[in-house]
Amino acid sequence: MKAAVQSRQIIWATVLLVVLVQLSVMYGIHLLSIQLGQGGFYPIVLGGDDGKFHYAVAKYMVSSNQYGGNFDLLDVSIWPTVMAVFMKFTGSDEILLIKQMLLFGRLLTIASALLALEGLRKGNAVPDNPKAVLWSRVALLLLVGLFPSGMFYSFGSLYRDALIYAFHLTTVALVLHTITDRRPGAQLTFFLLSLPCLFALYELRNYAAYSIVLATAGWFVARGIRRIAKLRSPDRHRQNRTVWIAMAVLIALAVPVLWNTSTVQQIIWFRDSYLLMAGSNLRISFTGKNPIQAAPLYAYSWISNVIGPLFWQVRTVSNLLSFILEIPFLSYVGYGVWRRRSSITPACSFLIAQAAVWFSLISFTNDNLGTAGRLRVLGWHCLIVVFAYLVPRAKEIIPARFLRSRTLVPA
Amino acid sequence: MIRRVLVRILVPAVVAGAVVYVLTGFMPKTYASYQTLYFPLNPAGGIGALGPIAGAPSGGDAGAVSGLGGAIMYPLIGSGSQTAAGIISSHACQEDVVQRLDLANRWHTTPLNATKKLSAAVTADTDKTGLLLIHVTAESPDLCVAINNAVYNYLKHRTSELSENASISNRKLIEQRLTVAQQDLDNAQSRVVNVMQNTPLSEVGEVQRRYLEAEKALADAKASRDKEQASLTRMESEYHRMAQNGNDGGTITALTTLNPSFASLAQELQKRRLDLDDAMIAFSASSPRVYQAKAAYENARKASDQVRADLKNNAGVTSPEIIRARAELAALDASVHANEVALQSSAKAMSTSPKQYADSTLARDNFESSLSRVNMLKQELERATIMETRDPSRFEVIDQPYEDPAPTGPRRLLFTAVAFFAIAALAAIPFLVGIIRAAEATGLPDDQGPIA
Repeated sequence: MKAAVQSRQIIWATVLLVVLVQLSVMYGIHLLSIQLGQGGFYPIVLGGDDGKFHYAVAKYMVSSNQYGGNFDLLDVSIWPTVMAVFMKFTGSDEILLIKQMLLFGRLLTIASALLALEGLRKGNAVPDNPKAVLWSRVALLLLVGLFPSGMFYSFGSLYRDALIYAFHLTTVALVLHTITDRRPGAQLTFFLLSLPCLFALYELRNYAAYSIVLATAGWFVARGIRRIAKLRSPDRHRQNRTVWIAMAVLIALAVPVLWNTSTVQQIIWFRDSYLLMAGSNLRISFTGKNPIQAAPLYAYSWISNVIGPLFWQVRTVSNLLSFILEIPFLSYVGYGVWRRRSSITPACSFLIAQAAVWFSLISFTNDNLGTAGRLRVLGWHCLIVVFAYLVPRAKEIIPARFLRSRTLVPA
Repeated sequence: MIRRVLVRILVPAVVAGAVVYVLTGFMPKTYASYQTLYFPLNPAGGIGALGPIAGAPSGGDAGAVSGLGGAIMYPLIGSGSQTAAGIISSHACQEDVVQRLDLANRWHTTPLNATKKLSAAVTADTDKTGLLLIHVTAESPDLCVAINNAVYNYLKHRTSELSENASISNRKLIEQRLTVAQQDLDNAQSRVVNVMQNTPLSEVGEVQRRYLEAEKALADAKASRDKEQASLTRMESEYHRMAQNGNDGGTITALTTLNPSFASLAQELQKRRLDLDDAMIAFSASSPRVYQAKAAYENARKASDQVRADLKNNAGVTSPEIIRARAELAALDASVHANEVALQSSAKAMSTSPKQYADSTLARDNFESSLSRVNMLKQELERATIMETRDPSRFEVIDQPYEDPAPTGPRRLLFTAVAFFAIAALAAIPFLVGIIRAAEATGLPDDQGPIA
């Protein structure tokens, strides 16, 4: 009993620490920005500041009493409208007040990470080790809460990313619960709850919502293939091989068909617009290339988007900061998941699929390393949840029966 | 747990917050003043639409805009407000304001340090609607307003200079060059018209084609003439042979073929022969009747002989075939001659057409070159006009700076909040570590082994 109380105390103390760190960072960045004359936006000039622009649009909406008008020329999402409504509701355009919404987004992200972790636990057929559960939660709270990009892009300016991170991880967690929960009523509830979150995500960044749908569909296809493979051979490794080969063949067949569609060509053009707008760091263009020619460039773009900037890509102070703060953190998480790949469960593979599809999408669309730092957080959140789940459940403390059904592809 | 949180986290945080709040009370108060300027955009649309036209770097990045292939440079970048913000942030502006307001003495520092301090105190912020917000912070409201006014005056003065020296002069230069280029274009156009009028054959290929056609027509005409000549010669030799062999049985037929009038002559000769024979039977040889019949016969025979003699010399041939053949031959001769004349004309045209072609090509090239040059200059003029429209000197004052007696800094509550949360977060670390150590010491539930 006392031990259970202590476990709760550890969790709450961790939550307290994480929340206090969020508040410190948020107020600290804001104060620094004010003192440097930036008015609450980026304290250091790191490039274009969309947050400042969206804030101006929101103020214009309030002053013109026109919410959600046609701002196609100016971009983008529902975020300026959300800010405008918030300003109208609170009667203030104080930036620090608006940042409370971003704080809410950060806290929702952390809570959603815990929800996703519970979804992974639910995927196990056997009771989990309470000690492992405790350390998973502690690790997850600290890793998500102290993720450098997550904090910086949430509080540095008035970016919409804090809410995107929150709704993305919430949606993923709810879908994961829909898959792993065995009670039909609960499944329906989780599924229905995921829909408004998915819609909110769509309004904030539409292709993040597409990514979730695509990854979920892909995961189910892989599961179907695995079930077919299971009928032919009971060997788990052979089943894995079959799934990988089948998925590779499907992708190899789909890519040439999809390559010349207007949607893909628009995406390629969108990527080229970075080059036109001088917003390109990678300077990779797929225009006029077939899939085979584009493949090596895409691989380079994939690596750069997922763990960039790489050493030779560091050209600015912001690149250097990102390189120093991000690479060790992401390498630690990525290597941790890779090292424990034999312990990956089907539920884990769902989160990995979400990350993989998201990384694949942004590697195709994005040519800017700074933007990559903002975008990739979605995928890394999923991997951090997997990491926090796996680390305290290394083979040496988990009974063999726990590992029986664990595999990289869904069962 | 709550008591421990209060003691170990909340108390240090509150103390830190209180200390910072008190300390910031000793910091000098700062005041602010604002001024808003409006820079009208080009009526054609927003900056994004105009950027590529004006040669401005897209993406809002700073950079010079060049014209006429880099020969001239515009002082503007993305918009007038951006340029104005750059002017306000310039060292020259700060130096001017420091001198005008004697800020070095007022702040008891060197002029250089005064400009640095002023640089931190003045910010010029632009937005995409064309507004420029000049924000000044200083230790007193009146100084804020004075600095703001001084900045405004410098901006107005400097932008006027820029306008006179750059945008307008650029436009005038381009207009002059456009006038000259337009004149060149008119000349080139006239030359093209003249050359085209004097050179009906504008292409060597056309000349060559006509020459070849004339050559072929001449060859065809010659072939037809030779054929007709051969046919005529054959006919004439045949008739000549028939005429030479006048004693043959078929002579009359042959002679009749050569000259249709010979048939009646032959009948008349035969009739007079019969009349002579009848007269010689009926009358004596010396009778007038016989004599008359003999004379009539001799006359007919002489006429027949004359025709024969003429036919032998081809003089009396009146055959339609030969006449037609001779006429056709004459026509073909005329055709051959005409084709020879045409061929000579084509050959002459072909010998002179390269020069004409070269002339016309040169004239056309000159015209196209002049036209593209005029078009380029028109684009440059459009661009220069846009640049002039976006000139930083064209702005209106929306908000005049005014004295606000309420201090804007230091933001003591913000400092306090940062101190409070930072100390609380720092205190939470040992607090968490302590709880974990205590839990490890007593053991966690269902502990199945060491944590990896």
